[in-house]
Amino acid sequence: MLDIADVFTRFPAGRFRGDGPYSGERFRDDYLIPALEKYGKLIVRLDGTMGYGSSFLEEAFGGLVRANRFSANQLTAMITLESRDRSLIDEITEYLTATRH
Amino acid sequence: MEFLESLRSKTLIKGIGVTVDLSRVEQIRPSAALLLLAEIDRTLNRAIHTAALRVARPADPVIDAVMNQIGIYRGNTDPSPESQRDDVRHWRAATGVLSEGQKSGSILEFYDGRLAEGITKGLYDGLVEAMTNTVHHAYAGQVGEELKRHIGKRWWMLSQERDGLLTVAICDLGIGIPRSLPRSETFSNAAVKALWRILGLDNSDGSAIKVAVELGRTRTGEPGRGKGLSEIVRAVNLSTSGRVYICSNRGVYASADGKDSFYNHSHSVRGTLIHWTVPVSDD
Repeated sequence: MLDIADVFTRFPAGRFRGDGPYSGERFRDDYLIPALEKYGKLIVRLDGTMGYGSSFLEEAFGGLVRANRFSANQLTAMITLESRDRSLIDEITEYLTATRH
Repeated sequence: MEFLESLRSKTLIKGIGVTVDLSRVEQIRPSAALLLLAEIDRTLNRAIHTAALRVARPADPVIDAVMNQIGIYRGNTDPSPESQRDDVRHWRAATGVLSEGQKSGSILEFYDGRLAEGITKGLYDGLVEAMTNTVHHAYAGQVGEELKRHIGKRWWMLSQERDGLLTVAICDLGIGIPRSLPRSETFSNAAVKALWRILGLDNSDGSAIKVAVELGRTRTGEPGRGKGLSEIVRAVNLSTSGRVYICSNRGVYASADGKDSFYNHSHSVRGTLIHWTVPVSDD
């Protein structure tokens, strides 16, 4: 289980590390990829933050596909997204499946 | 706008010290206060001597306390303690050079439980995307434009609650959407021109903002990228009385009740100002 508000921040914002302290790139490289490599399957809990800008989400999840460590098919099997907000899950699923290499 | 242009001319171009006379100001809108704060901040940050800008304070005690609270008197030697009046403490300001969710989040948390479901999140998403746009695009000046001088990639934010409405505004003093859009790495020039042609728009700044919003909606370009402006508009459509204005250079884009419009002013804001208004319930 990776609870973003609990282990990362309640205030995610920005795409790249240089954008700010809690960017999508930092979450992907320092939290998401290490957890996927360690556990294989992962529940990502999204609730509890103030929100997510699309830049953060696209870099964290779309960037996961671009990182080429896992295929889009592998990632959709490995990651379970958990949120009361269905549109948030749909948006991230779109990033996981639509990213160009 | 004429006043701000005169202030810029004297302080940025001619480099002379000025006194901003607010003594007869009896009311001020959040957007105007925010642009004034940004210009004063820029002037003070580039000033060699501290007497570059002083503010003659409003005679009206409430306006004076508001100006003090949001930081307009930073260059003065006579700041006052923060007021505890309700009509003053509901003005809050922040500034930064990064996409910092905590700064917008802490302002919005103040209204926790008083904004309709989804609006707090929608405003947060819009604010952090506006900050990220500022960091990525707003100060992407070409050689000679020297836009980053003395202020970094700075944004300024202001909120005010009044008469059951929360206004949140964020601005930068960058090149503006009409100039940054053609330089975008997210959208090809061909995609921008094609959409412009499909929409049948003229070459004005207002049209450029409309195109930028629609590009985000239509997902033209790299998958998932460039959605920021459409995200900024989305929050207000969760409420029947919510509205948003995106002012960039001379252009204005407005959205309320799912309908949008765009037009142009004769004067430029010389940057980008985004202004949301949403209903807020009583304490």
